[in-house]
Amino acid sequence: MDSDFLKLVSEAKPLNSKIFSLPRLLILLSLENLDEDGAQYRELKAGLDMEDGVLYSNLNVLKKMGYIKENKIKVENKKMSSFTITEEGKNALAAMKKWLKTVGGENNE
Amino acid sequence: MSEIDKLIAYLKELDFKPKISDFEDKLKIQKTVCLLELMGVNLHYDFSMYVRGPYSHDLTKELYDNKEKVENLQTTSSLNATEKEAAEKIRETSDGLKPTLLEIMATYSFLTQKRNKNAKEAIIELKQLKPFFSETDVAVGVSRSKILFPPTQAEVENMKNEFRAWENASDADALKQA
Repeated sequence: MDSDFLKLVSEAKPLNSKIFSLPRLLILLSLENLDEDGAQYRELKAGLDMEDGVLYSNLNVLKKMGYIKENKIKVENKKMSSFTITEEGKNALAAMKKWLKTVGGENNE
Repeated sequence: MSEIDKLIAYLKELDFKPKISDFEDKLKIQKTVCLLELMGVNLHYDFSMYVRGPYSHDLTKELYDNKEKVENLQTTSSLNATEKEAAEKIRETSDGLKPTLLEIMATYSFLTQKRNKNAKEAIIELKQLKPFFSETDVAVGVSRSKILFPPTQAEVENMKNEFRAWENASDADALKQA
Protein backbone atom coordinates (compact mmCIF):
# COMPACT_ATOMS: atom_id res chain seq x y z
CA MET A 1 0.00 0.00 0.00
CA ASP A 2 1.52 3.32 -0.95
CA SER A 3 1.89 6.23 1.41
CA ASP A 4 -0.58 8.45 -0.55
CA PHE A 5 -3.38 6.05 0.16
CA LEU A 6 -2.57 6.09 3.85
CA LYS A 7 -2.67 9.90 3.64
CA LEU A 8 -6.16 9.67 2.12
CA VAL A 9 -7.30 7.44 4.96
CA SER A 10 -5.85 9.81 7.49
CA GLU A 11 -7.45 12.85 5.82
CA ALA A 12 -10.82 11.07 5.82
CA LYS A 13 -10.86 10.74 9.61
CA PRO A 14 -12.24 14.22 10.39
CA LEU A 15 -14.99 13.89 7.75
CA ASN A 16 -18.55 13.23 8.90
CA SER A 17 -19.53 9.92 7.33
CA LYS A 18 -23.21 10.80 7.75
CA ILE A 19 -23.11 13.15 4.75
CA PHE A 20 -21.84 10.38 2.45
CA SER A 21 -25.35 9.65 1.36
CA LEU A 22 -26.61 10.77 -2.05
CA PRO A 23 -29.83 12.44 -0.78
CA ARG A 24 -27.96 14.34 1.98
CA LEU A 25 -25.23 15.38 -0.38
CA LEU A 26 -27.75 16.60 -2.96
CA ILE A 27 -29.66 18.56 -0.33
CA LEU A 28 -26.50 20.30 0.91
CA LEU A 29 -25.29 21.01 -2.63
CA SER A 30 -28.65 22.45 -3.64
CA LEU A 31 -28.69 24.80 -0.63
CA GLU A 32 -25.02 25.78 -0.87
CA ASN A 33 -25.56 28.71 -3.27
CA LEU A 34 -28.96 29.85 -2.07
CA ASP A 35 -27.70 32.03 0.77
CA GLU A 36 -30.02 33.06 3.59
CA ASP A 37 -33.05 32.56 1.32
CA GLY A 38 -32.62 28.81 1.07
CA ALA A 39 -35.23 26.69 -0.66
CA GLN A 40 -38.77 25.71 0.17
CA TYR A 41 -39.58 22.09 1.01
CA ARG A 42 -41.71 21.79 -2.15
CA GLU A 43 -38.85 23.16 -4.29
CA LEU A 44 -36.38 20.65 -2.87
CA LYS A 45 -38.85 17.80 -3.40
CA ALA A 46 -39.44 18.75 -7.06
CA GLY A 47 -35.92 19.87 -7.92
CA LEU A 48 -34.23 16.83 -6.38
CA ASP A 49 -37.00 14.47 -7.48
CA MET A 50 -37.27 12.88 -4.01
CA GLU A 51 -40.18 11.13 -2.35
CA ASP A 52 -41.53 12.79 0.80
CA GLY A 53 -40.24 9.98 3.04
CA VAL A 54 -36.67 10.21 1.72
CA LEU A 55 -36.56 14.00 1.73
CA TYR A 56 -38.18 14.41 5.14
CA SER A 57 -35.97 11.88 6.91
CA ASN A 58 -32.77 13.23 5.37
CA LEU A 59 -33.69 16.84 6.14
CA ASN A 60 -34.22 15.77 9.74
CA VAL A 61 -30.82 14.06 9.94
CA LEU A 62 -29.11 17.15 8.52
CA LYS A 63 -31.04 19.39 10.93
CA LYS A 64 -29.96 17.27 13.92
CA MET A 65 -26.37 17.44 12.70
CA GLY A 66 -26.67 21.25 12.64
CA TYR A 67 -25.87 21.40 8.91
CA ILE A 68 -29.17 22.95 7.86
CA LYS A 69 -31.88 24.94 9.60
CA GLU A 70 -35.58 25.16 9.00
CA ASN A 71 -37.30 28.54 8.74
CA LYS A 72 -41.00 29.29 8.78
CA ILE A 73 -41.96 31.56 5.90
CA LYS A 74 -45.09 32.96 4.29
CA VAL A 75 -45.71 33.15 0.54
CA GLU A 76 -49.01 34.61 -0.60
CA ASN A 77 -50.31 34.11 2.95
CA LYS A 78 -49.53 30.39 2.90
CA LYS A 79 -47.31 29.15 5.74
CA MET A 80 -44.38 27.06 4.47
CA SER A 81 -40.96 25.78 5.45
CA SER A 82 -37.72 26.82 3.87
CA PHE A 83 -34.31 25.31 4.55
CA THR A 84 -30.92 27.00 4.64
CA ILE A 85 -27.43 25.60 4.99
CA THR A 86 -25.52 26.63 8.15
CA GLU A 87 -21.84 27.61 8.37
CA GLU A 88 -21.20 24.18 9.89
CA GLY A 89 -22.91 22.56 6.91
CA LYS A 90 -20.88 24.65 4.46
CA ASN A 91 -17.63 23.69 6.22
CA ALA A 92 -18.49 19.98 6.23
CA LEU A 93 -19.39 20.13 2.54
CA ALA A 94 -16.19 22.01 1.69
CA ALA A 95 -14.08 19.46 3.61
CA MET A 96 -15.79 16.60 1.81
CA LYS A 97 -15.34 18.22 -1.63
CA LYS A 98 -11.66 18.78 -0.88
CA TRP A 99 -11.22 15.15 0.14
CA LEU A 100 -13.06 13.88 -2.94
CA LYS A 101 -10.73 15.96 -5.13
CA THR A 102 -7.79 14.27 -3.42
CA VAL A 103 -9.38 10.87 -4.09
CA GLY A 104 -9.81 11.91 -7.73
CA GLY A 105 -6.13 12.80 -7.85
CA GLU A 106 -6.63 16.52 -8.56
CA ASN A 107 -4.51 17.63 -5.59
CA ASN A 108 -1.80 15.06 -6.29
CA GLU A 109 -0.82 16.31 -9.74
CA MET B 1 -23.04 54.11 -10.95
CA SER B 2 -23.65 50.86 -9.14
CA GLU B 3 -26.37 48.47 -10.26
CA ILE B 4 -28.04 48.65 -6.89
CA ASP B 5 -28.99 52.32 -7.45
CA LYS B 6 -30.67 51.46 -10.74
CA LEU B 7 -32.38 48.49 -9.12
CA ILE B 8 -33.74 50.71 -6.33
CA ALA B 9 -35.03 53.13 -8.99
CA TYR B 10 -36.96 50.21 -10.51
CA LEU B 11 -38.39 49.24 -7.11
CA LYS B 12 -39.44 52.86 -6.61
CA GLU B 13 -41.13 52.92 -10.01
CA LEU B 14 -42.95 49.72 -9.06
CA ASP B 15 -44.08 51.25 -5.72
CA PHE B 16 -42.47 48.30 -3.97
CA LYS B 17 -40.85 48.99 -0.61
CA PRO B 18 -39.35 45.64 0.37
CA LYS B 19 -38.22 44.26 3.71
CA ILE B 20 -34.98 42.40 3.21
CA SER B 21 -35.77 39.99 6.05
CA ASP B 22 -38.99 38.96 4.31
CA PHE B 23 -38.77 35.81 2.16
CA GLU B 24 -41.60 36.83 -0.17
CA ASP B 25 -40.17 40.31 -0.79
CA LYS B 26 -36.75 38.87 -1.72
CA LEU B 27 -38.47 36.36 -4.00
CA LYS B 28 -40.28 39.23 -5.76
CA ILE B 29 -37.01 41.14 -6.24
CA GLN B 30 -35.17 38.07 -7.55
CA LYS B 31 -37.83 37.24 -10.13
CA THR B 32 -38.43 40.87 -11.16
CA VAL B 33 -34.71 41.49 -11.71
CA CYS B 34 -34.43 38.20 -13.62
CA LEU B 35 -37.23 39.32 -15.96
CA LEU B 36 -35.67 42.78 -16.39
CA GLU B 37 -32.30 41.21 -17.26
CA LEU B 38 -33.99 38.93 -19.80
CA MET B 39 -35.75 41.97 -21.28
CA GLY B 40 -32.35 43.50 -21.92
CA VAL B 41 -32.09 45.80 -18.90
CA ASN B 42 -28.50 45.30 -17.83
CA LEU B 43 -28.30 45.40 -14.07
CA HIS B 44 -25.23 43.09 -14.18
CA TYR B 45 -26.62 40.26 -12.06
CA ASP B 46 -25.86 36.72 -13.17
CA PHE B 47 -28.70 34.25 -12.86
CA SER B 48 -28.33 30.47 -12.78
CA MET B 49 -30.88 27.70 -12.52
CA TYR B 50 -31.29 26.20 -9.04
CA VAL B 51 -33.98 24.11 -7.33
CA ARG B 52 -35.92 27.33 -6.84
CA GLY B 53 -35.66 28.42 -10.48
CA PRO B 54 -33.47 31.25 -11.73
CA TYR B 55 -31.55 32.80 -8.85
CA SER B 56 -28.71 35.30 -8.47
CA HIS B 57 -26.33 34.90 -5.55
CA ASP B 58 -24.76 38.32 -6.32
CA LEU B 59 -28.14 40.02 -6.14
CA THR B 60 -28.92 38.58 -2.69
CA LYS B 61 -25.48 39.68 -1.47
CA GLU B 62 -26.05 43.23 -2.72
CA LEU B 63 -29.49 43.39 -1.11
CA TYR B 64 -28.00 42.50 2.28
CA ASP B 65 -25.01 44.82 1.81
CA ASN B 66 -27.38 47.70 0.99
CA LYS B 67 -30.27 46.72 3.25
CA GLU B 68 -31.03 50.22 4.55
CA LYS B 69 -30.84 51.88 1.13
CA VAL B 70 -33.08 49.25 -0.43
CA GLU B 71 -35.66 49.28 2.36
CA ASN B 72 -35.87 53.09 2.28
CA LEU B 73 -35.73 53.23 -1.53
CA GLN B 74 -32.77 55.63 -1.42
CA THR B 75 -31.25 56.08 -4.84
CA THR B 76 -29.38 58.62 -6.95
CA SER B 77 -30.56 56.92 -10.12
CA SER B 78 -33.72 57.50 -12.12
CA LEU B 79 -35.40 55.68 -15.00
CA ASN B 80 -35.76 56.91 -18.54
CA ALA B 81 -38.95 56.42 -20.55
CA THR B 82 -37.87 53.00 -21.94
CA GLU B 83 -36.91 51.75 -18.47
CA LYS B 84 -40.19 52.98 -17.03
CA GLU B 85 -42.00 51.10 -19.78
CA ALA B 86 -40.14 47.87 -18.88
CA ALA B 87 -41.14 48.28 -15.22
CA GLU B 88 -44.75 48.93 -16.19
CA LYS B 89 -44.84 45.83 -18.41
CA ILE B 90 -43.68 43.65 -15.51
CA ARG B 91 -46.17 45.24 -13.12
CA GLU B 92 -49.05 44.69 -15.56
CA THR B 93 -48.19 41.14 -16.60
CA SER B 94 -47.56 39.96 -13.03
CA ASP B 95 -50.79 41.49 -11.67
CA GLY B 96 -48.79 43.86 -9.48
CA LEU B 97 -45.83 41.56 -8.67
CA LYS B 98 -47.84 38.50 -7.62
CA PRO B 99 -45.21 35.94 -6.45
CA THR B 100 -46.75 32.89 -8.18
CA LEU B 101 -46.95 34.68 -11.52
CA LEU B 102 -43.45 36.14 -11.17
CA GLU B 103 -42.03 32.67 -10.38
CA ILE B 104 -43.68 31.05 -13.38
CA MET B 105 -42.88 33.93 -15.74
CA ALA B 106 -39.22 34.16 -14.66
CA THR B 107 -38.64 30.40 -14.88
CA TYR B 108 -40.39 29.96 -18.22
CA SER B 109 -38.74 33.06 -19.71
CA PHE B 110 -35.30 32.01 -18.44
CA LEU B 111 -35.72 28.61 -20.11
CA THR B 112 -36.86 30.06 -23.44
CA GLN B 113 -34.68 33.18 -23.59
CA LYS B 114 -31.49 32.01 -21.89
CA ARG B 115 -31.51 28.25 -22.37
CA ASN B 116 -33.06 28.43 -25.87
CA LYS B 117 -35.75 25.86 -25.07
CA ASN B 118 -38.80 25.85 -27.31
CA ALA B 119 -42.20 26.48 -25.75
CA LYS B 120 -43.02 22.79 -25.32
CA GLU B 121 -39.67 21.90 -23.72
CA ALA B 122 -39.84 24.93 -21.44
CA ILE B 123 -43.33 24.03 -20.20
CA ILE B 124 -42.27 20.42 -19.48
CA GLU B 125 -39.21 21.61 -17.52
CA LEU B 126 -41.23 24.29 -15.72
CA LYS B 127 -43.78 21.71 -14.58
CA GLN B 128 -41.02 19.37 -13.38
CA LEU B 129 -39.42 22.15 -11.38
CA LYS B 130 -42.66 23.64 -10.06
CA PRO B 131 -45.29 20.88 -10.00
CA PHE B 132 -46.97 22.57 -7.03
CA PHE B 133 -48.43 25.34 -9.22
CA SER B 134 -51.87 24.73 -10.70
CA GLU B 135 -52.37 24.19 -14.44
CA THR B 136 -54.27 27.48 -14.53
CA ASP B 137 -51.43 29.41 -12.90
CA VAL B 138 -48.93 27.84 -15.31
CA ALA B 139 -51.11 28.66 -18.33
CA VAL B 140 -51.58 32.27 -17.20
CA GLY B 141 -47.88 32.67 -16.35
CA VAL B 142 -46.74 31.26 -19.68
CA SER B 143 -49.14 33.44 -21.65
CA ARG B 144 -47.98 36.52 -19.71
CA SER B 145 -44.34 35.61 -20.48
CA LYS B 146 -45.27 35.60 -24.15
CA ILE B 147 -46.46 39.19 -23.78
CA LEU B 148 -43.02 40.15 -22.45
CA PHE B 149 -41.21 38.01 -25.03
CA PRO B 150 -43.41 37.67 -28.13
CA PRO B 151 -42.70 34.55 -30.24
CA THR B 152 -40.38 34.97 -33.23
CA GLN B 153 -41.64 34.59 -36.82
CA ALA B 154 -40.07 31.09 -36.98
CA GLU B 155 -41.87 30.05 -33.78
CA VAL B 156 -45.17 31.38 -35.15
CA GLU B 157 -44.61 29.35 -38.37
CA ASN B 158 -43.89 26.21 -36.30
CA MET B 159 -47.09 26.70 -34.34
CA LYS B 160 -49.05 27.22 -37.57
CA ASN B 161 -47.62 23.97 -39.00
CA GLU B 162 -48.52 22.13 -35.83
CA PHE B 163 -52.08 23.46 -35.90
CA ARG B 164 -52.32 22.61 -39.63
CA ALA B 165 -51.43 18.98 -38.89
CA TRP B 166 -54.14 18.85 -36.21
CA GLU B 167 -56.69 20.45 -38.54
CA ASN B 168 -55.85 17.95 -41.32
CA ALA B 169 -56.23 15.02 -38.93
CA SER B 170 -59.55 16.41 -37.74
CA ASP B 171 -60.79 16.89 -41.34
CA ALA B 172 -59.78 13.31 -42.20
CA ASP B 173 -61.73 12.01 -39.19
CA ALA B 174 -64.80 14.04 -40.19
CA LEU B 175 -64.66 12.63 -43.76
CA LYS B 176 -64.45 9.05 -42.45
CA GLN B 177 -67.48 9.54 -40.24
CA ALA B 178 -69.54 11.19 -43.04
